[in-house]
Amino acid sequence: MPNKLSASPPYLWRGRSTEAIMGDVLIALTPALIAALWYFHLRALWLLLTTTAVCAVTEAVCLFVRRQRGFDGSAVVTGLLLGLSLPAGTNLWAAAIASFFAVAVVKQAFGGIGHNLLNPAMAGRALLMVAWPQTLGGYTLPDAVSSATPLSHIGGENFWNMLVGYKSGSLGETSAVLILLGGAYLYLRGTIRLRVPVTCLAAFAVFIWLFGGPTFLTGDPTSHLLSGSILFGAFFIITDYVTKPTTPWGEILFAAGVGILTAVLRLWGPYPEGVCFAVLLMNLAAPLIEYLTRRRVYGTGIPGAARAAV
Amino acid sequence: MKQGFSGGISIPPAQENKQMTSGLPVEGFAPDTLVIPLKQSPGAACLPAVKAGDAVLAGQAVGTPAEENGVPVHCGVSGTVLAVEDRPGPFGDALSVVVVNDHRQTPAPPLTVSRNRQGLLMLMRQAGLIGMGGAGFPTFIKYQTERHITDLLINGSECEPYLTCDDRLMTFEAARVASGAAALAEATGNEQIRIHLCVEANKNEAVTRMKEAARSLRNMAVEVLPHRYPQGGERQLIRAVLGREIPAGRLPADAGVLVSNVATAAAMADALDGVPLTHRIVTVSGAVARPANIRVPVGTLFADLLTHCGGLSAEARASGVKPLFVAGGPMTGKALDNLQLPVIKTSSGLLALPERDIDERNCIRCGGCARVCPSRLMPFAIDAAVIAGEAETCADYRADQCIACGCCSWICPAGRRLATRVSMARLGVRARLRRDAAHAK
Repeated sequence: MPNKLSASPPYLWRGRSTEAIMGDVLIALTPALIAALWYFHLRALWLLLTTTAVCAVTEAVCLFVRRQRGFDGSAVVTGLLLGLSLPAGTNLWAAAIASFFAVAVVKQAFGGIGHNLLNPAMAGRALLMVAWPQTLGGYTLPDAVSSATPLSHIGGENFWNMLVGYKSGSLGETSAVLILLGGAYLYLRGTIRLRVPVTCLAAFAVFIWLFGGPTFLTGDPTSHLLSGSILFGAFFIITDYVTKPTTPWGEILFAAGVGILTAVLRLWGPYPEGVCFAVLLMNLAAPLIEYLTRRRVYGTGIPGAARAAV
Repeated sequence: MKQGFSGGISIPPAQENKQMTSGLPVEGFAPDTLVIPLKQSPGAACLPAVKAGDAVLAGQAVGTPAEENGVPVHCGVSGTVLAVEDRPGPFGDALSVVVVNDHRQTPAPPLTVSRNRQGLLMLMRQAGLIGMGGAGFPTFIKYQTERHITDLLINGSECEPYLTCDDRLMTFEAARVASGAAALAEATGNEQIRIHLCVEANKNEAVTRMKEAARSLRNMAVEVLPHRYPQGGERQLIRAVLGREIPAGRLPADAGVLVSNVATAAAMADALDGVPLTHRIVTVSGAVARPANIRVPVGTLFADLLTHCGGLSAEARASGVKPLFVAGGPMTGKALDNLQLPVIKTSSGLLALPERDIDERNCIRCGGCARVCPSRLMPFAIDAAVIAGEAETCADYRADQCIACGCCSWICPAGRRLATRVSMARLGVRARLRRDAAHAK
């Protein structure tokens, strides 16, 4: 296949490469990274270093073995997302195995970036949840007092603490304000479409309000939105291009599905947190959603149009 | 402003580079030798009407159509025929008339003009009019339609980067464009037809001049459109101005619309004066010493045009990197491996662009190509289907509706050659549709 830009038109290129997009995601993750280090100190540092380094090295080795070029930074993003989705007390060995699994099995074995069906970071986290649940048990408050995740006693947390991030949970889900800051950056750069996180959060909140309380319509969406990884997931996980549908309506259905499934798993599921499995389930549905929500091609489906013979 | 069309891209001014030539007047230039190809549009080549040694006059036909749907080719200068031989042309090596210019411009007798529908259609043919926006379709065929045409769009959108030849034409020859448009409208046979002069908002001078020119003419109005690529695509323009969508496999005429380029309208005005289509304005821009808009006779070699503009720019020469020469605009033009090719009736530009290598990498499914596709296709899916050799999938994804605008390749972060493969798939699917239609009959 011709590689030269000169081979055929157009002869201009916008110039925004895959690397530039990954760079944007890294910039957007910075506030959440700083918060993780601020609240969890060295534990966060070691955990994030482990996941990022293992993901990056695994990617480089896989590309070398597959004789492919194109280390585009996506593995670094995967490593950070995986690290940020884990509690500070996670065993480093387990985190390393999850990182290797995410890149080598979930991503590269399927053909590398763009070909993976599942979100690598979420698949890595799911591996830990299923294989070594005890390593995830250590949800700690920033002062290292072990506690259950706030999801086990919603309402008990101070609202202000939940907003700024002084609460137990995974590294990246501490401060709502900083997650929103990163999300706003991605939106302003045109890297993500706002309809994805907004639909997800709205569907989640409505479902919680409907069914999350002792009686119908008495749920408390605010504390649910501010706790756990729904906010982080809405802006950083489900906006992953590869594993969501590309069509406008597909994005909306996909995001709403993640929001509702997360609420269902939170309210009635066996795990305290539902984002991870909700994302993976919707990842599996994404190709079908995309196909069913294709936009009407110009000139087709109107009177007098020639039909494609299939 | 009008509602617009689906998709499209806003190319940043720094990449668009229209300012290099958008403030300049149009200059004239005629080289010492013309190489006039007898094939300038799809269809059969013309038959030579002259032989080596013949004297030719400015405006004389040197090629006569070989088929019913063809139009003649004329010589823009007076002089002597040096040879009638195969020369490299826009469609590969083709028979061409080589003329040595005597620089006297001795005119040929004017064409006969009779101003009724049949007379105008005849005049279009005798003047050698073809669509000058790029397609090169014979104008008289388009206008002899039996359909009831309610709207005529005169396309002065010129949304391609770098190019300003239509902008300059409208600015300096607005009256000619408008009177030509009126004559084109007459040729449709509908006296109540509405004429829309479509200009993008970024061409301030052209908008002002065209509004002045249109004021005195009946049923004519200037439509100011947002500057967005590909605003000038035929189907996009119809959608933006009239809100109509042309069904797949149908022509604009089927929806009561005809679209012609502003340069075609100006050529029609010349034809009314008895002068056939022999010249056009070409934008010479990019890494050249003296970017310009130049009115040249058809048959001028690109090499002569470049020399006339001082050759490559000092920076380009200092860098030592050979630029990429393109005939036409950078989004849909054709790379030239050889500057010994002639300007033809549809040549809008000669550009020297920086050549860049971009690795093709995995699609990351960002959906950018689908978002910018004016036909609302999913280029990334068609790209994958072409590579996998899945003709059925290409048809299912309606690759036949690709307009080859290049937006998808422009935006792709992975540098994929989407436009190349989708336009390949387009041809395959169109052939399939034709075969199935024939089968159904």
